[in-house]
Amino acid sequence: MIAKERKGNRKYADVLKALKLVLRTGGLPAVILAVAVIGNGALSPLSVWLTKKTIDTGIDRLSGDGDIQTFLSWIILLILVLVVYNIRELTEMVLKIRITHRLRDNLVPIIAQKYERMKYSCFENSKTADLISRIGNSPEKSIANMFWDLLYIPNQLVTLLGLAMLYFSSGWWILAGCVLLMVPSLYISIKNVRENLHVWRSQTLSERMAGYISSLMTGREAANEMRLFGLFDYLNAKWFEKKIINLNERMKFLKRQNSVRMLENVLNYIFLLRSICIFLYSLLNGKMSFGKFVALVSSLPQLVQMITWLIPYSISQFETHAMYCRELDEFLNLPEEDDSDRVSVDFKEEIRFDDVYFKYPDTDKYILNGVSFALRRGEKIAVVGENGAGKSTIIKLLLGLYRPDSGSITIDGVDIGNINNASRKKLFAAVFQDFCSYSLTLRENIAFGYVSEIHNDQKINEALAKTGSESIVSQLPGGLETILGKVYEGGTDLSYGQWQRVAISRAVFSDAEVMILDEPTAAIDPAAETEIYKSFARSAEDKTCILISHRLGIARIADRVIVIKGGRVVEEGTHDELMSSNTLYKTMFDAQAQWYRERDTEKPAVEITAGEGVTVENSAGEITAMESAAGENSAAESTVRESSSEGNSAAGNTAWESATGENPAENTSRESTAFEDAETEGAVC
Amino acid sequence: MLKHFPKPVVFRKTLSLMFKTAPKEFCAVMLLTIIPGLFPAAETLIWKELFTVSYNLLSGKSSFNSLIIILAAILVYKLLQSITAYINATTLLRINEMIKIKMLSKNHEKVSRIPAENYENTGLYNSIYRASNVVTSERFSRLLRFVFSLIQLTVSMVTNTLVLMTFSPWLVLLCLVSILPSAVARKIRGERYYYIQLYHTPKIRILNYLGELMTSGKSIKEMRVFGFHRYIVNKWTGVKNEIQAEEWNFTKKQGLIQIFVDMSSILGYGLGIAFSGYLLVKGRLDVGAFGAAIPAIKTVQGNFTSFLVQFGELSNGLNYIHDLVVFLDMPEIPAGDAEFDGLKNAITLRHVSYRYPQSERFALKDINLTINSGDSIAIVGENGAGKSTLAKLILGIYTPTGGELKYDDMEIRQYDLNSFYRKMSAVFQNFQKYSLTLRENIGFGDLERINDDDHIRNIIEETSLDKVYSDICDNSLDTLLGREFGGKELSGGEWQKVAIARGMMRNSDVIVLDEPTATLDPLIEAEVFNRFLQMTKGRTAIIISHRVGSARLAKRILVLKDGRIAESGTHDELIEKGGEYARLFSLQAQWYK
Repeated sequence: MIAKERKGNRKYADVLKALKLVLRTGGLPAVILAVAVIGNGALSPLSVWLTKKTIDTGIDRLSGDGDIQTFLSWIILLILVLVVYNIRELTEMVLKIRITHRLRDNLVPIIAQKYERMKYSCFENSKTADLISRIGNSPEKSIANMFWDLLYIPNQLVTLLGLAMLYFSSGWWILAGCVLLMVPSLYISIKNVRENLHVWRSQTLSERMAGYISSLMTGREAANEMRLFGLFDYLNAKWFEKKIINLNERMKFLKRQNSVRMLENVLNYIFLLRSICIFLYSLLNGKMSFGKFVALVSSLPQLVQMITWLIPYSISQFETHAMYCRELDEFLNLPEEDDSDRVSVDFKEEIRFDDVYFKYPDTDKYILNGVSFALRRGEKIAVVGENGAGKSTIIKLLLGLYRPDSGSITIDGVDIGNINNASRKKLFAAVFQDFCSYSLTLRENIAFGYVSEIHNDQKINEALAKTGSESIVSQLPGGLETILGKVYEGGTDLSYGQWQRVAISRAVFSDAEVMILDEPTAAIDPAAETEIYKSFARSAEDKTCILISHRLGIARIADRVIVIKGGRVVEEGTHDELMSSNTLYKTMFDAQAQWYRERDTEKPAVEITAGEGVTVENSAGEITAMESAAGENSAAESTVRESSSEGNSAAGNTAWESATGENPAENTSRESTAFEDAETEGAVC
Repeated sequence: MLKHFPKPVVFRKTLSLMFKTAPKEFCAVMLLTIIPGLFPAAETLIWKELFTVSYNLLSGKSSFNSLIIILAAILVYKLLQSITAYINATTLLRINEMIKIKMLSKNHEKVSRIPAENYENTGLYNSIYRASNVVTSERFSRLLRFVFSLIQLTVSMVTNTLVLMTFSPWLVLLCLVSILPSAVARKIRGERYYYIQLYHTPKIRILNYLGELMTSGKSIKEMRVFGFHRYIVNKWTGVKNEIQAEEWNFTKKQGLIQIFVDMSSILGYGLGIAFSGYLLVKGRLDVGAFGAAIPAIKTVQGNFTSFLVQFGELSNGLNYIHDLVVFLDMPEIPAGDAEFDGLKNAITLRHVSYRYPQSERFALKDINLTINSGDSIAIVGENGAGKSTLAKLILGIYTPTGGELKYDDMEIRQYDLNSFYRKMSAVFQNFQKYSLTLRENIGFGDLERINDDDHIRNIIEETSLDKVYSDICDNSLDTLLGREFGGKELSGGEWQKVAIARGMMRNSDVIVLDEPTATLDPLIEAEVFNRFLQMTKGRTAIIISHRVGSARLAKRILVLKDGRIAESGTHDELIEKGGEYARLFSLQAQWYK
């Protein structure tokens, strides 16, 4: 009981807060609007009164009692009221737009700041994501609408009061009847609104899902699969069913509500008729002038409508608004990152993961089960492992998007949670697995890495050059100013590989100390792939680097490899160290290398996979069969061997590997020209 | 580029479309709209009678009986009104919603018949967006009501006018003249508003896009890391300012015009009252009629205005609906009628070239190729060489711009499309992650067997999704996937395996694997590749792979460069040749030696 009351109080408090906001930010226009709307409530009773006067003086004139001037002046007054009524509509519209503008100017920064500070997990949690999308991008409209709706309550009360004064002289009982009628109407209206809100909310998920299914059918992304697999009929039926179920549910409520309303209406009509009879009685008894009779009887339907429909409706709308205000409040109170007590840090020594455990909010499965490793400044590590092993999660934790459940992540001994946003931004740059392709200009796509340098063309060009993306710019009609993507009409879409290079250029542009390259979700061609890893490494030569890849060969350009399995680090070391013993890494490496090995030295795939407890006997046989069909060609073999061994030395002896000194010397004399060699290699072949 | 239809054609097409899509609803709306048209005139008459009778009672010229009849009439009238309101709020609302849903469903069907390559220019995107906007907007269901409410209004207008005529014909003329300026202005405003909306669509799309960037996890991640949040906010604010400034200017200008024209109708009302007063004084109008005339003048004015406005709205509505008619008229995939019952001999491409719509550049040029039934072919080449485009041509998703592409001895477009696609399968590079159940994600590959649990479980096993099935999905095929609706989220590699399972689900003759193992880890990659070859044994398989080494598992390798076939042959032949293939191969091989 107490809890309910408190909830009720909170409802009013929330609405009050929102009203204050409108008055504060709306300023003069809001005050004028409020006064105008409330004042306008008097127009309706005024015109009733003037009608009465007009008719009475008209009849007087008819019977020769009054003069024509008084009659005409009442008519003119009546017309004036109508003029005011007409202007009112327009001024209200203009004022409303003004107020909405002011509200927006005031709210947008607040909302934007909220988005900026909100904990990242809120965006990934479906419940809070719903809330975020409901509050949406135009809270100003909802708040403004609330203001109008709330203003109509006093407006209607003024009208009611005015009419009451007119009616009062003809019988207090009419007013009492009004009050009696209002009680059930109000109750029913409020109940209906609550019910409708409930239905609406319970249907959001299913409506969103219907929207999703529709977008699958109409969108570009799924267009190929929709056609090839013939999914339209299935999805269309599913969509239709969802829509109909929702519609039927809504109709069920509406039907019941309207039946009740019909019964209620009968009551109202009886009241209406009874009132007319009583007025007639007064008229015939000479207690009421004919003008008054006409005016009151004509305004009776309006009065009944107001009492039984308009006022209860306005009041019941309060529920909707209170709900919105509560959600807005909830939104504004979503957990934030507190940046005030945090320190800035210069990464000098090492980043350390210490026994880190983590599971995503609202899930039971631990993704990280005690991850520990260290990364020294300037070092380049490769994180490899099965899909779903937790590689990308490690990155999310490192970037502070999530907090570990236990254990610690530190930079030079400072917990990552205590490092302020400014230094984190300076420290890290990342190319995520699901990197964004912004449908904006190429300039923006690159400069988002370091947005204050957006007009530094030289820097942008450098970043593009470092990732070998000059060709992208040169083929675009508008150069850096070309709008990319499909959102703008006339935008130029890039291929996936090109988008990826743009994403990498963005990271390069940021000048961050730690560069993270998460393995992309789709692949690019071999030449471009080699080029990208090389250029990523080249542009990050003096930087700390985290490379995530299942392409183990490429992991060799790192100083150290960390192998993740089941949410923990299972192996760690240089490529050569790991290759020298019977490790998971070696198993995986061999599995990939087989594609490039010559037939005679090739191990059948079955042995590799068998190690993982999967049996693939038949497929191994299949491979051999296909291979033998390829025929023998010793000349070709030797060419490949030749070039492969060259490539090996080039790749195996990168500058960093030898710098760590953990690499058993192979061919150190070539190290300085490692990259150039790899390039010429390709050209030679 | 897009056709333009004259308004009468749009009108006719839309109405017949509505009738065909939802005939029952169409007729119901007609009945429910026309009958209530008689109400307003009845109201005027009833009040007039009430006042006249009561005034006459005052002077003893009337009997109480007539008064009772009038009161009964009021009650009946009010009850009728209430029933109409009930029907409007329930049945009519439902019917409108039904028409909307059915029309949207029709739009979906239409999309299915539009060639996928049309997505490559922004036109289709916009057209679909606008067409569904038409259907979901109030305007569309209103069109139907407009038609009937015009009939309704005519009835009401004529009856009301007749009533007013009995008071004085001059009053009718006054009403008509005084509302003309207002009606004209409203009509002009309506037209203008449509153009403003049209102009806004791209801007509104951008606004929504920027809004999405601010709220979606994917982009928030990057904004946090790089710190360009403010920039997006400012840009978003800028676009919103532009849009609102336009609306504001428009409102201001139109508002002023509206004030003046509305004055004229008020003036007309005032004059009407004055004139009635004059008639009353002159004794040409009795008191009851005078009392009733005041509201009647307003009603008739309102009738005239709404008649003209509705007529204007109808015409504006047709402007909007034009988008829908254009969309529904878009060219469809030409479909043949020959049943395709599998590839018997070979797929042959002769001088095939392909150019994306609205593009000048040929993505593929002079492709000559024969793929024998049961062959496996690998296509390699650099980005933009045209590999995926070639695959989509072979799958019949795109249609060649030039040359001929035959399955056995007929072109793809001569076959019945459904029977043709039934024999095709593919795992696309940009495969879908359906936020639906695991069953649907896999079963979409073969809808006929979507409820065949054993078959799906077999596929799960064959594509090594067992762990996903048992651990993540708790051994239930009906587990919802994807975080969007609160389902279980899979990793990138797991999603890809699901896509592969989908491709394997159907018993196709031809299967295209576009970069099928991109995000799989090494152990699974080797395994999946081997599985592929086993599973596609006897089928015609086209594998596009960036891992050049894997290409040698195919019987023949096709190397594309700049939209042409640069070379083809077996792995060994191509290595020996030392051309493009050898270059790509050694580039990758160097990492594994």
